[in-house]
Amino acid sequence: MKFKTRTVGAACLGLVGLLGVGCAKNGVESSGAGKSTGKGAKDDTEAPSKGGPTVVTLPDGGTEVVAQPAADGGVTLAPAGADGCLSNREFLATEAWPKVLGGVCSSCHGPGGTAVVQGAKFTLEPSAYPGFIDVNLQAVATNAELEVDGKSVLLLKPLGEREHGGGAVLAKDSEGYRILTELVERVKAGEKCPDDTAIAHFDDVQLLDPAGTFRKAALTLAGRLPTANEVSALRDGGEQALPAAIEGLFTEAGFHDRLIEMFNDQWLTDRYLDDGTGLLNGDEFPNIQDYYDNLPDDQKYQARRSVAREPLELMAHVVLNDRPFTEIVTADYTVLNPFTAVVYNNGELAFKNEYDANEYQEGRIYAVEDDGKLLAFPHAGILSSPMFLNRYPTSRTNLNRHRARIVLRELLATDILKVANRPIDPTKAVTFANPTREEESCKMCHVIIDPIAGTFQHWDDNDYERIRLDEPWHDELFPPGIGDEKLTAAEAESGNGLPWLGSHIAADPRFPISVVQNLYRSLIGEEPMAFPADPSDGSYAAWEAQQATLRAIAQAFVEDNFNFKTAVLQVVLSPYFRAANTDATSSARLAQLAAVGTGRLLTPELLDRKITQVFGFSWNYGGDRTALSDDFKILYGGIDSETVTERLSTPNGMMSAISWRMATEMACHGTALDFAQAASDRRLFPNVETSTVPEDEIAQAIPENVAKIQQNLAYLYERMLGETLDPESSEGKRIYDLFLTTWREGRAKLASTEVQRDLNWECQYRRKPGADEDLPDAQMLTQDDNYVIRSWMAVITYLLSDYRFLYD
Amino acid sequence: MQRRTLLKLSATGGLLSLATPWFLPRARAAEAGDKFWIFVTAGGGWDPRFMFDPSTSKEQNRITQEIGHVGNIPFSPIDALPEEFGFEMDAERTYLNPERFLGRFGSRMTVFNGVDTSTNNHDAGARAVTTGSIQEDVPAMGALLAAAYGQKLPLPFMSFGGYDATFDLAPLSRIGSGGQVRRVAAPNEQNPDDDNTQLYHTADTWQRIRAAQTDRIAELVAAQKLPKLNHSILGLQEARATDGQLAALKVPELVQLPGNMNDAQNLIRAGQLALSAFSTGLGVAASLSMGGFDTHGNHDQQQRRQVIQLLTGIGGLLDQIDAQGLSDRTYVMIGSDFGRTPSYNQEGDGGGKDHWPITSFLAIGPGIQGDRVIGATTKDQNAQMLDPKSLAAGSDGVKLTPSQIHVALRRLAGFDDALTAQYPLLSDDLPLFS
Repeated sequence: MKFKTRTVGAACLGLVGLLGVGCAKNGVESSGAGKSTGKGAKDDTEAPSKGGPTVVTLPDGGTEVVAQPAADGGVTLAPAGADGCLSNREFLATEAWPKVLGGVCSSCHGPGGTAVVQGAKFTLEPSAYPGFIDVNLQAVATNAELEVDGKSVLLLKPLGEREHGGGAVLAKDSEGYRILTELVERVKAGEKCPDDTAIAHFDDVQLLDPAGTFRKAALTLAGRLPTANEVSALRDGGEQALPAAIEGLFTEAGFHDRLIEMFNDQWLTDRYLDDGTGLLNGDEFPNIQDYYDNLPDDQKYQARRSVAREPLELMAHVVLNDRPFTEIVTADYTVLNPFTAVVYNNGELAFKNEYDANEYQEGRIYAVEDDGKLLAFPHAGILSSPMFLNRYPTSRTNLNRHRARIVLRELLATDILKVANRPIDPTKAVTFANPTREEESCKMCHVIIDPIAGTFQHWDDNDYERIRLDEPWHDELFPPGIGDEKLTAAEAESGNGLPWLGSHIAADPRFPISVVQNLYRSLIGEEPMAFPADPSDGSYAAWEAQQATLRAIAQAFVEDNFNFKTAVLQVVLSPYFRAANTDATSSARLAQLAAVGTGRLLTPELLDRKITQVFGFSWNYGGDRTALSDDFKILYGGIDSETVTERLSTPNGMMSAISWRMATEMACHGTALDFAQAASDRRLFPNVETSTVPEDEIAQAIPENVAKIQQNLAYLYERMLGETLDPESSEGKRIYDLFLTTWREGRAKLASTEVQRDLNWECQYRRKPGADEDLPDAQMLTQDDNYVIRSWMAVITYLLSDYRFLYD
Repeated sequence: MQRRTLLKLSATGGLLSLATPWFLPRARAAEAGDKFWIFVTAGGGWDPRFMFDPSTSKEQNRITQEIGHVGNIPFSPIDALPEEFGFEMDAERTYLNPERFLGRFGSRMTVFNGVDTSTNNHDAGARAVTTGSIQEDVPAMGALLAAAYGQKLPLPFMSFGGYDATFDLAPLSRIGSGGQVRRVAAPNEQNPDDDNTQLYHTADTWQRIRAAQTDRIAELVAAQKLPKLNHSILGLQEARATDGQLAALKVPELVQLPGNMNDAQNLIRAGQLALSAFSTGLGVAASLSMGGFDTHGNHDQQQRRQVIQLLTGIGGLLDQIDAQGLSDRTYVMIGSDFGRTPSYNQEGDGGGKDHWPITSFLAIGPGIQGDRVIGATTKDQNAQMLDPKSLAAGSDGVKLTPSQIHVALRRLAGFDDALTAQYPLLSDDLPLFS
């Protein structure tokens, strides 16, 4: 894929500037062209930092979506350029595709269609194909130049002329033909609507400020809250300081854990966390018996887990060491720790600690052959991982097609089931000796997947991680390869099909698109928009804006030598991660902003870490597993990597109840505990004591105490919600009223002995979290004489169940 | 305080007689809701030739070429092998093969044979059986039911597997086990299993916290203009509106089946939880699934095993429905991605069967005629046509499809046209359930 670049004015750095989004001051603010860029932000002439490219990159032949002022003062993603005409790209997307190309033409010229099967030069990709507009526009441009008697064959054939296999499919006076004629004339004439307007899609969108963005990034990427110093530095440094601050997160252990989690959401190999070693064949990997069986139980657990995590650790290794992310499919090695090195017969590596599961080194997997010799795996990143091969198994009749489908979907952004989803007729299939190559409705898929399936040849269909070079491949299938590229016989015979496939995936322009799409799913929490069924409404503009963002991120990723961290940074800096609100009011504009902003319900894992950060201990019922990683993981919308593989993004009544349960239990366990610490060590209540009551005995406010309570409420809002609390706002009054009313209720009930001074047993601080023995009496906190602890428990319960705690 | 009453089931004894329902006690009839629906998907593509569309051809069934009948419904007399499930097979107990299943439930079941899913694609097939369409943009029928009849319920559509896309029509709940549900159903109670449990907050405080949160969410919704964020806040608001009803949920003791019949046991357990939600007025639809039917290899062994587990599981589920007095209000629909090829893909032991679009569909529920077969296949396992009026199978008429079945199911469910018009099924309206 070729790209062209064009410099545009950037109001601030990164994609925020790239996409024309104004920058915010501290706090969430309205942004816009010419508005404040925040303290420390640069003007548009300043050179970008590494994390913030200031150039727009677009696929060759494409044009940017241009912006026009909207009635509400925002910026509309208009289906027309500044002078009112459509760019060729937009004309194809909004007119030609929905009204003629996507229906009449693609039924035969699309994947597996009659025309394609018969070798037609004019082929079209479906809307599920990544970058289909650009690809199809290029196809039209190429074929439009073929003329007979001065007229393009693209305009002759639909009328039934020039031996069109489909006959006459358009009437000369039809709208479809008129649109096709205009499209042909447009591409022959070249682009007449150059996009000379800034790509300012989001001027009316309010973004999280740098500190707010960093808070969200720190929780999302590293599983921690920002420190006071970090917040202060970002408030001083503004947008300019943000990229470097985010890049600092990439060095933290939490980022590694998050990478593993993100990659598992995609590859689902954690399905084997409890049984990784059980998958392996004892003949090829005899240490499964000799070594593993003799390990202590806790080390066995580490060994099983290490085997299961091998492909994900390889991916994390590539990222953390700034290797090109293409190595996830090209690496001629994997990463092994002391456990997996033994299991995989690698005696070449030396480890500092034979029981340190976190010590990884690059190395090869060796399988013991029948003659006792060691066979080095033909590594191809995760493609040759025993866990990948087991997670996506094959059979004597499936012939690696499932694996091919996964490769297309996860690495090349191509869902074959969407590309070729149409009814089949079983009575036709039986009339062919080899329907997958001969029957059209079968062939349309198999011509794409079978070549890729062939590159997995020699991997056994029973012991999935075993190489069988003596097994011939199937001549009845389409020849091994990918697209127009064919696997050479020499590569096939030597068992190097997967390294060959990996190198071709790495060079495929769909690979960076796939990486960015998957990253978008991980960080934004939802699917990138599908091409709209009706591009004439605002959804096209929303789709195109998102596509432009993803393309720009993909290009930045490629230009930084496929550095995954660069893509992470750009997603975090984009409005899709940062948008907090908008000034827009028109329904058309709001439709265009449909995909902007996250508002994602935290996954069980993300919520789990947030809780632990706030309290210093996790929500659990004993044992090593937290409530959200065990008891409520699936109920709260998580996955088990086996039968439940899609996360829930919308809460239900059960999930709401779980969040309430979490809130009540954590408030109970954490409030007295925090008050029992020295004020300087407290995470929740540094500004108040258990004696800090709001009113005196005659119900008069105690101003000094009220101020402390207000101060602590503001502290809690900042810490737990990332929100600045104004005590005079409705929210400020509401939360203070909750505290005060609860305290008054408790005071009255204490006086009437309706409630006790002792806290409920479960809410007393008697031992440290996870400890087996009680603390000395002097260190316990079991009583609440002033009903202050229970009043704060109500506040903590409220905050833990708040939208801004449960969502990001 | 009203306590959650646990259903005491008689399954703890292990082996159960065919002569009586497995789970003896009867709960009171449900007070809320009208009709309930359970959709069971046999994941991977079952083989109708091993069930209720049998064949005399050895090419199509190497285990047996006999055809039995219970009433009007034919069956393949496949059976479990001795000790296949880890305990001594007893002809009178413990599991259901096709013949025993029909003996118990055939009189209340309509079998659809020769159903053409028009796909060999797992995803598309799973969609077809639960939506009536192979297209991607149609919600599962459970979601339509939840949207129509369960909008104000906390668990309107529960999924334990299978195709469960809702397209935001209604919230989806994925439920793993019953013990968890008890704990969260009463979030302000320290120990929901204890009648004298202490509360985390006084009742007044608890009410105050919730009221304050209600006001907070309303304020956030009003202030938020970005559609996506607004939608996400509304999602929490809607969930909050229903979570309090969970306190009414009765979680039963879960069934234990003897031996290695985990798939059947899991199916029944999922059904128990769904029925608990139904009977307490918390939900209206559930999606259940059992995998293991994609038998490209070792077809005879694996397919037979899974068919028996499936029928055993559904039998247990129907007994649960009966025991809870819900049989006059609960529909059970059973289908699979598609069928399996008319012939094996290799000679000898270990041969498999590949994907084949022609399949069967089973329906049980109030008003559905029992002991009935609609549709048929040819000897080559292609679909016979159906007379659109008499529903007689033959060479003329229309082809029976999931779409037609779902058009009829939608009518049976009494959906508002405005709802179904959003997800049209372009198909004949056949009197399949009348």
